[in-house]
Amino acid sequence: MAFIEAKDLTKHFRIKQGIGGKTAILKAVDEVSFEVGKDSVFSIVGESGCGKSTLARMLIRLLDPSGGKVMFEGNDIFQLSGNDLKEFRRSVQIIFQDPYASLNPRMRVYTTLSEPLKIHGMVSKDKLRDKVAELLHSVGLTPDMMNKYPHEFSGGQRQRICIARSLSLSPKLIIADEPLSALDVSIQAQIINLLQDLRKRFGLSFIFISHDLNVVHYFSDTVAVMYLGRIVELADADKLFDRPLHPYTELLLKAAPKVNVQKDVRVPSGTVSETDVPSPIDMPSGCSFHPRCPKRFDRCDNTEPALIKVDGRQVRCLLYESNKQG
Amino acid sequence: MLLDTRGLSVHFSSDSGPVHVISNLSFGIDPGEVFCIVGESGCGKSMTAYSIMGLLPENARSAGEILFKGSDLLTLDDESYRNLRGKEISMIFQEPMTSLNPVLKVGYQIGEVLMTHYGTSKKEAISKAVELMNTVRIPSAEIRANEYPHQMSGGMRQRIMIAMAIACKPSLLIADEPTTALDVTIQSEILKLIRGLKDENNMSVLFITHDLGIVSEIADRVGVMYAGRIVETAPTSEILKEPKHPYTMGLLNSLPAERGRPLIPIRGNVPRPDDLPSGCKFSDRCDHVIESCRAEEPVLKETLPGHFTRCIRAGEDLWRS
Ligand SMILES: Nc1ncnc2c1ncn2[C@@H]1O[C@H](COP(=O)(O)OP(=O)(O)OP(=O)(O)O)[C@@H](O)[C@H]1O
Ligand SMILES: Nc1ncnc2c1ncn2[C@@H]1O[C@H](COP(=O)(O)OP(=O)(O)OP(=O)(O)O)[C@@H](O)[C@H]1O
Ligand SMILES: [Mg+2]
Ligand SMILES: [Mg+2]
Repeated sequence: MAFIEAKDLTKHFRIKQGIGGKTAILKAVDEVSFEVGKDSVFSIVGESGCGKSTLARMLIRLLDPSGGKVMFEGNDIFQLSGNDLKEFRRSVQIIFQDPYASLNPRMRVYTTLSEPLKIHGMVSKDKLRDKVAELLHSVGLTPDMMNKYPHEFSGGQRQRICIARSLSLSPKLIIADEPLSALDVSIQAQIINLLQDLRKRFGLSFIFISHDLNVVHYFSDTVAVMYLGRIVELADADKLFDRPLHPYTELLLKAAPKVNVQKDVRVPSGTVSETDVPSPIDMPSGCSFHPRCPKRFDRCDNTEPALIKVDGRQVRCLLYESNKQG
Repeated sequence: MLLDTRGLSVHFSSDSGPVHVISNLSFGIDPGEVFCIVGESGCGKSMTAYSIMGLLPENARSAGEILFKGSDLLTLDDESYRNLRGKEISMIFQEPMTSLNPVLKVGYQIGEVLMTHYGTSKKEAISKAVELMNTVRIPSAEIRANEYPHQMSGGMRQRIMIAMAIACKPSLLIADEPTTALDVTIQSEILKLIRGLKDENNMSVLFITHDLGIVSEIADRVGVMYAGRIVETAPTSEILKEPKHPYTMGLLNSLPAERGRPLIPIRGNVPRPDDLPSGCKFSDRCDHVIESCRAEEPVLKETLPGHFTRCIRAGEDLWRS
């Protein structure tokens, strides 16, 4: 049994086009399925607007899906109620991108960290201070900081406080939606080390959303690449970065800037398409990536590829379907 | 040398006295060269750019010299600056939405630069604008020239900004984190575009970023900034291979490399500009600090030809040890 599993998870938004205009359907997440094992890091990458945050919000039941389900430890999370729901809310936590916006500026760190503990009745009143001190310690901060307000901290320290808050209820899974992008490299390094360390110490699983592919490679076991609401490739991190199968994955990897100290020549940039990312309202026919794909051929314009297994991974591309047949 | 910044200092006045955010900054840029400034948030990168553009905030004061084609920009009057800005020197800002006018069509906004500086007629200016939109590879430029900024994606808006910035073929383009808000694919497209424009027009570029990957791809030479100072400057391949300043080493060590190997973050936090240590400003966070580091601030010394370092231990092999 998978620890957490998405089954054909779908979210369609209805949007009005202009005043009095027709409603259109925006397919933000479309039939996404994957499994995450215990004690592992599953990453989701893809361009802005491809549906990463929408997916994350469904996984923690902040948003209802239009179809499909999420199974957590064998139970459908959208069917949970009462104590089971409370238990789920405790077990799965999320960290957001912006450590500035996600802390209440008028609350001392002590209040921020002790509130969830009180709500869930995790520790008795006289132990709260000790528990908060312990949480601060586990993210590399000192207990005297509990009396301060968010503005008295640097960006990296604030993100640590957010992480401490997410740890307060001893979760089993943390969903991190771009937790590093607001931070400088040196601070990013602190936070990545911290996440690695927490993973080892508490056996935590992570669903990690990021657009920094170097960080994703470093931190993940499995990677899902999303394009316009769908998974186009899902593979072991090493395999994916070593040899991407889907042309979109290839494009992403080529586009990521790499520090290159070996040679004097610069890394050639990828052959990036001339067109912008198409909108999820007006999906291209056939393979949704075909207008930008350097490897497209006739059938791509009108045949929708399925997600198929190739070389121990999943890929959604006609190149591999024909290989399989031939 | 096209741009020669000599001993630039910038301070803000505050209730508790002046706050120095840039101290004695010197660097030069040759024609056709891409010079990158890297450093952590708050180290003074944008203030350096604004000083050159003559766009510092009201409460900021600057000193020193910024020689552009031999004349000092810091002594220019407002009108001469207006004639220079957008024509000889132009800038792309981090967030394109704040620098585009939301109620004007993008084609008109690009054309306006030409009308202002060359007195070009509106009709001609707009047809030039369409050409420029083609240059920055906006598909169906003729149609899209009639759109407003909010109708375009982030990457397109950034390309509109670039089209405006290059309309008068400036000798110097300043790009302040122009791709931070964009996707990797669009980012790589914009970097390619800037590189192409530089080659075609022999334009110089001052590129500001905190991403060493971008530095590696676009820069000819790099200046690493810390607490309002340049602490190391050298040709790109050399600084990435043989960093001499412990701060530069710290930035490189912070990058994810081999899986499973813990990263080595720089310890401590970026100091506030009004709370810097005495002596070397990096001494509090440095792994190689010795007693004499705290006595006096080191000068920027040429340790190898073209490689300058502000560290008394720059002659030692700290990177490999
Ligand atoms: N409440 C909503 N109503 C309508 N459309 C929405 C809503 N929320 C998200 N969308 C749309 O769904 C798509 C996916 O958005 P989402 O925020 O999940 O993308 P993302 O991959 O997280 O992007 P980013 O990298 O920019 O954070 C986008 O086209 C977005 O505009
Ligand atoms: N209007 C202002 N008044 C007082 N101090 C200011 C003002 N604007 C900026 N500063 C300070 O000047 C210093 C340099 O700021 P600057 O914007 O140049 O940083 P930066 O290197 O561009 O950072 P980032 O990477 O975050 O953009 C910072 O410490 C900042 O707090
Ligand atoms: Mg998102
Ligand atoms: Mg800045």
